[in-house]
Amino acid sequence: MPGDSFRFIHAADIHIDSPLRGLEAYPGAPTERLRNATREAFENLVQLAIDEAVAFVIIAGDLFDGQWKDMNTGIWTAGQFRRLERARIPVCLIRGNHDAESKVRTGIRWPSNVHEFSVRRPETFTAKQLGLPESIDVAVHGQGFAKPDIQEDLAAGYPDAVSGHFNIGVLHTSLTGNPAHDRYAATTVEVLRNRSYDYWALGHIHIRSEPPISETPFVAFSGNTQGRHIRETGAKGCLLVSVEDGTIASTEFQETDTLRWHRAAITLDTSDSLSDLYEKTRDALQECLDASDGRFAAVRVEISGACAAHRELVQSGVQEEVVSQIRDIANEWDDEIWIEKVKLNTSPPINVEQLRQGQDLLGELLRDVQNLCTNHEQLAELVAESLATLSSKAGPELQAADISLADSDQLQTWLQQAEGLLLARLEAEA
Amino acid sequence: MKIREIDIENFGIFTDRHFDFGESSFQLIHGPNEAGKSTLLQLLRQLQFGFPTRSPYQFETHAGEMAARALIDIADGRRISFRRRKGRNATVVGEVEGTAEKINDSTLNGLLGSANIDLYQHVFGFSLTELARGEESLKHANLNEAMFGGSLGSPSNLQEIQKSLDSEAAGLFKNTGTKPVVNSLLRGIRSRSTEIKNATLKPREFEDKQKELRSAEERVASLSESRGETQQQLSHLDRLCQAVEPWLERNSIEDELEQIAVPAGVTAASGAEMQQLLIDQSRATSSLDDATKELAETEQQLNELKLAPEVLGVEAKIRSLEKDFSRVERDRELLPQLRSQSQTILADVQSRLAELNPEWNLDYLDSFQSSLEQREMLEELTARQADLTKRQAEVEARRPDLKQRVDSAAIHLTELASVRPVPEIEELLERESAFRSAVASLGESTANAASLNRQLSTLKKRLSPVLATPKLADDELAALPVPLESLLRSFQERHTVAESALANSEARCEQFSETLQEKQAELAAKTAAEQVPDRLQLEGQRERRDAGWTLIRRKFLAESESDSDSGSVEQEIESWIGKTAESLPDLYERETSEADRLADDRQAKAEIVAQRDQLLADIERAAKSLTDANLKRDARKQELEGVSDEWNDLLAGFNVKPHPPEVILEWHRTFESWLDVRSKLIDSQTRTKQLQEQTADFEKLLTSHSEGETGNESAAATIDRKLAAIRRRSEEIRKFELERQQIEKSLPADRASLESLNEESSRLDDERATWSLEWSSLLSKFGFPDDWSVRIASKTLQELHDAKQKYRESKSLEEQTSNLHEEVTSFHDKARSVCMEIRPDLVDFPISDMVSRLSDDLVQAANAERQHTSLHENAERIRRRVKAGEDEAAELSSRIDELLKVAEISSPEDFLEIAQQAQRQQDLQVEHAALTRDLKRLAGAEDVETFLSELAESDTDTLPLKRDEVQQRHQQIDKERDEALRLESEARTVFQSMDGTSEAAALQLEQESGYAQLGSTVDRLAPLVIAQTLLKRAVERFEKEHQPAMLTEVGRLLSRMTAGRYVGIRRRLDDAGTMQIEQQNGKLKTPDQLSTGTREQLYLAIRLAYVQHYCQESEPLPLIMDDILVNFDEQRAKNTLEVLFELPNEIQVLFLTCHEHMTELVRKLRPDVVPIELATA
Repeated sequence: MPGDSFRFIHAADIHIDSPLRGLEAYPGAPTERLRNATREAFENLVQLAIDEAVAFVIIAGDLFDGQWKDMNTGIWTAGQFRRLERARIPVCLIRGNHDAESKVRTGIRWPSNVHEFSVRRPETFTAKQLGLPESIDVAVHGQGFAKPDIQEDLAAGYPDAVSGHFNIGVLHTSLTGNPAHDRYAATTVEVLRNRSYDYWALGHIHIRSEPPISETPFVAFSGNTQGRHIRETGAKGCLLVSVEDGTIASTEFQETDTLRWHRAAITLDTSDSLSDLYEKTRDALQECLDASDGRFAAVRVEISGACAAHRELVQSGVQEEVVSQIRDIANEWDDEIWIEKVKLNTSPPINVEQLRQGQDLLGELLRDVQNLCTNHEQLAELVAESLATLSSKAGPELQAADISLADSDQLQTWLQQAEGLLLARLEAEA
Repeated sequence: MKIREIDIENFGIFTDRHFDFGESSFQLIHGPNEAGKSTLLQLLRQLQFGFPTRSPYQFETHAGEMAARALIDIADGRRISFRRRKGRNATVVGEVEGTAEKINDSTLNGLLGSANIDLYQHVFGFSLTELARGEESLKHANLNEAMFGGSLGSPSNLQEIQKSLDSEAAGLFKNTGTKPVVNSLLRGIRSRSTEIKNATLKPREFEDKQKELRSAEERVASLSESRGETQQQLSHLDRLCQAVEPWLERNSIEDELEQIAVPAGVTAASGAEMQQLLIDQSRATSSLDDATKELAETEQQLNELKLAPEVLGVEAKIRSLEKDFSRVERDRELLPQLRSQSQTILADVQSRLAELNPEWNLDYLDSFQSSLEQREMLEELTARQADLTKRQAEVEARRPDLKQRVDSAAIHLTELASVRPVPEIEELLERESAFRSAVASLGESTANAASLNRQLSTLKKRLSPVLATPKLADDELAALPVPLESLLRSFQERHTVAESALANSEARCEQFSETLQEKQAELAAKTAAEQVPDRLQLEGQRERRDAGWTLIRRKFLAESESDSDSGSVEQEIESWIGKTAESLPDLYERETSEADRLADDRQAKAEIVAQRDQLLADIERAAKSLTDANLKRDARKQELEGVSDEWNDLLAGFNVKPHPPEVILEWHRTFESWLDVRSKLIDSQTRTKQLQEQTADFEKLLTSHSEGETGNESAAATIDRKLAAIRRRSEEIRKFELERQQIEKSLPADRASLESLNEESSRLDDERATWSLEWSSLLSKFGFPDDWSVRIASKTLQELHDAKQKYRESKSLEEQTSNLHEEVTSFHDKARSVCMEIRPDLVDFPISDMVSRLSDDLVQAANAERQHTSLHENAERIRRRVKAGEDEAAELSSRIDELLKVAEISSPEDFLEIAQQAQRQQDLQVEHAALTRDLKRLAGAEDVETFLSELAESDTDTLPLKRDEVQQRHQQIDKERDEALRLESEARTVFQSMDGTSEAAALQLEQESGYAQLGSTVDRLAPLVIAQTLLKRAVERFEKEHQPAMLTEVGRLLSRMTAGRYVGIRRRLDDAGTMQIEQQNGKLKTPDQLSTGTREQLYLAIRLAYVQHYCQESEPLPLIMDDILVNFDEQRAKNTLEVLFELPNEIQVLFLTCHEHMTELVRKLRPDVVPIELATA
């Protein structure tokens, strides 16, 4: 299948104007740098396409996070598409579960270089339809989401490969499933293989497939272009694909993110004091910054360990002071780090198991904690009862803040913190 | 657990101290201040739970690690011995006595019931300070806190912790209010939601703005069109107005032109030309005259000028003489100096040659030659000679000393050959230390055996009284079957438990019995003091009254009574009336009055009635409790008897008399000790024998290698003397041997060095002979005498070389002088030759004057030549000017004539007049053309003729009015258009501002921050409220499980301590659960209403109840009290001590005091307690 050599970009899950989650503003926090993170990532993607003079750009769903809260989202996006139009680079895009047709009604006419696949049936764009030179023998197949919860296997209905062309399938899917993502348009690699395409540009899963799901045909998720919360750590971007004589010569991951998320896990030793905590934090932040490769870093600092500092940490007001101190340390690097959150999960440097065996009130209390550790229902009941007033007063806000009183991990963490708190208080009072 | 013995290796002021706390459950430890009471208290705590890493009891002056050993009895009957040291790991090493079971940190902790040092310190360890703190905290504690909070340090701590958790949680969130963090965040989040909604650009809004822009654009387009039209009209009228004036002017010019007539040959231009020709003719005539005059003057100057061509002919030669003259003058002055210098050098060379050798002259010097090879040869031979001399000197310097050392060493070696080491002597010396150690051990072993024998005898005496068959031989005794200690302990424990249970039951029986009696006595006293009809009497009276009423109703009020029934009523009435003679109604009335009186009486004395009822209820309860207690006591008695029977059965199987368990256990321990001592004695005897054999063997060997006889000295002195002699001998042998080894090692090397020196000397001789031959050869090559040394030959060679250089220098100077002389002569000849050619009169002048005058002549001749050339060229130029002036004048005249001829006019003046008219005509035509162009321009794109005809037809006076009208209309449209443009621009700006920049997105980010802050705050809040709930649950559960029994026990203990003044503890039914203390009279007090002393007793009672309660469920731990009774009066102290004595047997009490009177009080109450004196223990 001889033909021209060309390159294209495979991107997905751009979620334009989706806010970055969980970032707490504080005095000195570089808020300005974060407002447009998803937009800047998309700008980087567009610039990459122009710089690399790619033949076309593929967006495999979820260009938007949901129905626009603001027309400005669409106006701005159209502006970026126009940049590609001026560079004569067509865009092929499908709608995903977040920007399904029933959910996002744009009301804005995209520039002529944007080719959106139908949501009713699978569609194919050839080089001619895309306005590419006919010497680029490419056929791009795809179908968007008409509604968010597509359960049928869309890939099974995709057309056969066009003979003598480089065939690309564009699909928004959970494949066989991923615990971190909802299950939509599920399919299998076998189904994809049966289409006899050369490349499957997948979207929906925000973690890039490394290595790819399949080499022949090449099947991969490009991941999202910008991490949006602490669960999306590491480099984010798109895939730059080179095709030579009808076969894939290379696929390179290209970073587009402007902000990178990190978890800095700090384990304190038995004798570690608050000053040791700060030193270790400084080192950990430096590592995060090194790993950010010049980008802005949003860091969750997770402090754990049975340590001498615990007794101080559970005192009233000390936690706030420690958090401020850690944010101050972050400010030592000018506008380069945002401390997303500081999680303090330390415990006192004592033999808790021994105390748990004691036939006194403390032993009774610790045994209760141990029992609750293994009994989720009881624990959930206890927490629901303890926080009943709060949840009745601020249910929607808690949900928006990602706080679930039924989340087992969350409850266990709180329980451990409560145990540590009581141990330190009781021990300190003793 | 009970601590029986401790051995302190190193802890604070204690080193190597032993304490035996005996078998009793109560032990008094007395010591004055600073005797180490507090140290002992700390040690007892830390021995059980570990020494802290940093300890004030680690004294640097003490050698060895912080450590102590303990012997403890566990409640299950096992005896444990262990050693604890300070450290991080493996701090405990020990074993369960009588088994192979090992004890380490973990197993010891398990044996201590997994208690921790904090709990121990708060519950089991008491000092006066803690008692006072506990007493104080009771003032504010509720019942739960008082009962259970103490295990956390102090009752009030529980309350403090709860309060601090409450306060921190309230700082984060409250159901109402705005200040707490969560409340404030929620408010911010909600208000920001509204802001986001307002800042959002909605699709309808976007479309509206788009429509607004389009409408504004259309309005602008329409107005622009109208404006174009009026603009066109305005322009047309404006141009018409502007054209009026030029149009009129052009008409006037056209009229004037028609009036002017000029001949064809005259034009404005020919008039101007004529005027210019006349001016030029006048100027040309004047110039011609001036040039003719100037030419005549120049020709005269040329004729007067004198030239000298012969001088210029030899110019080159004169220039050459001028150039060379100064150099030749310098050479002439230098000649005498050069000659003198050359002669001086030559004389010096000759003089130096004569000094070296009188026979040598300048010819010899000229012929003398030395090659490079010869000079190098000389240098090499000089260096070799120096080297040979140096090496020879070195060899000669070393050889004599070396030879002497070799000879002397060889002689000494022969002398030392006869001395050799003796192995037996070395062996003796090696074994000396072991021998002395064996002698010392032998002494110790013998003493130890004697001590063990004494111990064995003592122990055996203590064993005999219990044995069924006394006076057994040691072997028989050792083979005696004895019961296992664990079995005995188990029985003892059971026995003790049974005894204790029985004692408790009896005490309770006694207590209930006392209570019953007290209540009955009180009831009797109350009954006697106040006659109150009892409830039964009142009820009986009321029943009688009601029966009377029934009879009255049946007899007098019933409507249909049957006869049979009437008979029965009468009988019943008779029976009811009884023996009194009163009638039924009268009696009924009296009985009614009596019932009312009784009721009124009870009512009036209701309080007394209630008290009596209460007493009756108490009596009933006490009686029931007494019955239950008696039943339990009987059961306990049976249990004790059963255990005793089993015990006797057990002992019957062994060779011991039936004694109580503690006696048998003591006997068992003595027997174990006897066995142990016996085993040690056997080991000691075996060891003594081995040591005796070892010393005898050594002494035999020593004697065989010693000389001389034994004198009157002791055996030990003899051995020392012999060993000293042998040691001296050994040292001498070792010294000689060392010396011999050193010589043997160094001699061969010295010999080799000497031989090498000899060989070197021989080689030097050979080299010197070779050198002499080569030297002679070199001298002969130079022509020097044979006997010249290296130094002389080298010096002479250098002198000759220098002289030759000087000689060459002299020759060069002579050659230079000759050359200079020739040059001077040649210059003179050249100058005379030039003079002969042009100035023969100068031939005899001095050379300097001659050259100077020739130079002057040359300058003058050159100047005259240059002036002649210049004048000649000037005359030529003037001649050319004269000729040109003549030509111009002719040409001008010719042209004037030509113009006149063409115009047919005779004089130039007439010609000029006609030409002026022609000029006017031309000017008018030009102006007409310009006006025509203006009118065309004003017509613009319109046709000019149409435009001008419209102008001709218009009324020029009204045209401006028309134009002003149109202008006004135009301005109006313009204004409207400007407004439309402004609106369009505004709409465009608004539309363009929707460039995608989203304020809502920025607000959304702030909102996310609010959510994040909410998350963080809830992360802080949740553990706090969970902790609150956990603590509450724990207290509630603990209360449910333990409070009732503990409350009873606290009441009992307090009653015992206060001699019955306070009898119990209650909980007030309020939210706080306030603690109340019941007095003997039933009245209640809160803790803060008690005296300090009573409150201390209350705190002690609570603690002791907690201790007992704890010990029922876990391993009992020793109770250590440090001078807690010092503030009590004697009665309180006595009562409290009695309570301590009555504590269950499994709880060990270690009572520390520094007060003598306390010791006396204890001894008074418990004569069997033997105090441990801390100062002397």
